[in-house]
Amino acid sequence: MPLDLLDPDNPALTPVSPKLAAVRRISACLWFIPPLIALAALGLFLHPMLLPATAAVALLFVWVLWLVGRQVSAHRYREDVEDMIVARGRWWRSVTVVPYGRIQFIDIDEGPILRAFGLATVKLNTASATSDAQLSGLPRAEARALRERLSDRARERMAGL
Amino acid sequence: MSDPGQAGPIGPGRRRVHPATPLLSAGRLLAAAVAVIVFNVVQQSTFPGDLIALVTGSGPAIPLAIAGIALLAAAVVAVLSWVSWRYRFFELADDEVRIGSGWLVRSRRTARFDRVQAVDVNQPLLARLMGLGEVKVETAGGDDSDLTIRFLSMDDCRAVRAAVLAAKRDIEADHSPSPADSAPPPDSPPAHETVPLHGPVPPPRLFGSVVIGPGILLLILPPIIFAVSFAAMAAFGVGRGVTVGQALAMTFGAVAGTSFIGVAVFVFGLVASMWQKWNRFHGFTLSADDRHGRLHISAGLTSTRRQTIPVRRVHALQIIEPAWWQPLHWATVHLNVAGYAGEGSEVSTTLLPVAPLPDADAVVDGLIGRVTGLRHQPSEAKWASPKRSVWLSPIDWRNQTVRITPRALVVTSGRLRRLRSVIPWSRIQGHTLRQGPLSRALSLVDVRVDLVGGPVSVTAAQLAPDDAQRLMRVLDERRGA
Repeated sequence: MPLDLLDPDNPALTPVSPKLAAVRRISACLWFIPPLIALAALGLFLHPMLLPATAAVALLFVWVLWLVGRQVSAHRYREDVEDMIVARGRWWRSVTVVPYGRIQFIDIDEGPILRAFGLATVKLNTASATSDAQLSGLPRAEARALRERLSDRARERMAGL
Repeated sequence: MSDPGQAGPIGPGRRRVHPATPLLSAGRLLAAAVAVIVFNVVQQSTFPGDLIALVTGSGPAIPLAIAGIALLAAAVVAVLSWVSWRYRFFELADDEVRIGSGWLVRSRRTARFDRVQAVDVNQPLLARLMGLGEVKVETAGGDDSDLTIRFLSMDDCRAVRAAVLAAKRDIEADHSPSPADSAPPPDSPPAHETVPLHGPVPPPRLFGSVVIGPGILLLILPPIIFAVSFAAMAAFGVGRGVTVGQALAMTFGAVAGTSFIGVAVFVFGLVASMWQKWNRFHGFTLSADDRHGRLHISAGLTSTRRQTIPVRRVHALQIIEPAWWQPLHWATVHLNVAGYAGEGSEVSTTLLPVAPLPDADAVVDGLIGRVTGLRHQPSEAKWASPKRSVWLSPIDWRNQTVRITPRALVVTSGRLRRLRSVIPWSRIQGHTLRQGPLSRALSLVDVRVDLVGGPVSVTAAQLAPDDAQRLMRVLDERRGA
């Protein structure tokens, strides 16, 4: 059973909201569009050699937009009996398993774009420095409910350091 | 420390530190100031004779002026130190330890007893000359989360440390009356206060461990490369009949020619880093206090460091055999301690600086026994990286194994620098499966074991999917063990 966790489209895991893709695409636009315009303008008025570079950046932009969709559909989670599972990535797959008893505290972050789409990020903090159990793009109400459930389970199963 | 009940600006219940504290704290600053003055004076006058002539040759006025300025400066320093001392205090309150200082600008720092992770007694060089020491209280948190009471006499230091640890134990006993915390491991002799585990480390071994390292290779290698290349030139006649003596001379010339100052700076840096390591670990002694469940470390040449690590907070151990020590079968042991995450320095997290491999194994075995309360037992299962992982780690794959023992998870990795990590089951904070495109093509999975921060990080690299699945099942089962 556990190893189908490496399958990005495993239906046993709940995907996060598809709206997260829109959020990430918007932030990708913020990063890509101003340089693209600048490059295109320079290419038109300064030197035509810059036009192929513009095309390459535009291609990269389109690829990133496509990639965001793939990444978001692979970002899934599952509340198992004894632990929380957070999976991310398709090519570089990473599946973090956090026992409920190890959760120290839980953060909810809402960035401006996330908030506009009614989404939130839930971050599980353990005593570990490496564990990166972060769940982006949950609907806000669901994020709050998840935090409540997780803190209850963490309290029940609390293990000392 | 003066008498505790004394009134004054510091309030009741607060205790003073040693009167020499402001001077000692400013010691480095004063030394730097003196150095700057001396340097400037020496630079101003071309010959020391000029200076002496200036002071002695112009009547009594200048020496008197210098003496007056010095007296005035001393008086100002004395008054400032006295004021500073009057406002310095530390206090062991009901549930926290506080320190404070400052007359106009007051600073206060507190640490709650239940957040205290460790209490160390240190003796920096200047304080040591006066028989004083400092008490460092480590709390869980970031880089700057420790509280240092300086300076007290060594007896007071020990008393304060004992008081802080006792207060912490009381509070923890009140809040969570779990017998496991205070009960000693079943096989420990209760009669002895402390049991020596290792050391003091013999000076020749410490010297060897400090000298044999990558730096010395860098120092030796270039001359060898030059010598070999010149010898080759001589042998194959490229250099048209260069003799051995000429080859040697050319070697020396090439080394010296690369930049004499560069070489000198490199050698100086090398020696300084060796000295630093020696200074840190001289006389390293590790002992265990089983009644209170603590480890004691004492080490240091110019400043003696005494460190206390609660055994409960030991989360992971790693035995490291660097390539250059392998002919000697020496190893060093590092550990992760909860609450030392921000520290990150080699000092706090070194369990053994250098020891023969069997000794290191014995110490780790004993410590794991103290953490888990179980005796050593043979491993139940062992999985290794399959042969196909040679494509991803051509050298290391032979030494990548995972062993399951009743007490702990044991992960080995590395071949030139051999690592063996031991993690008690109950300390594992979670795990992460990782697979990249290459490992997917080869059907391999990495399992990273998530631990509290520290020098030890553990990944069971390149397991077959079935073995990874088994490992995850074991991790699920033994979580509470």
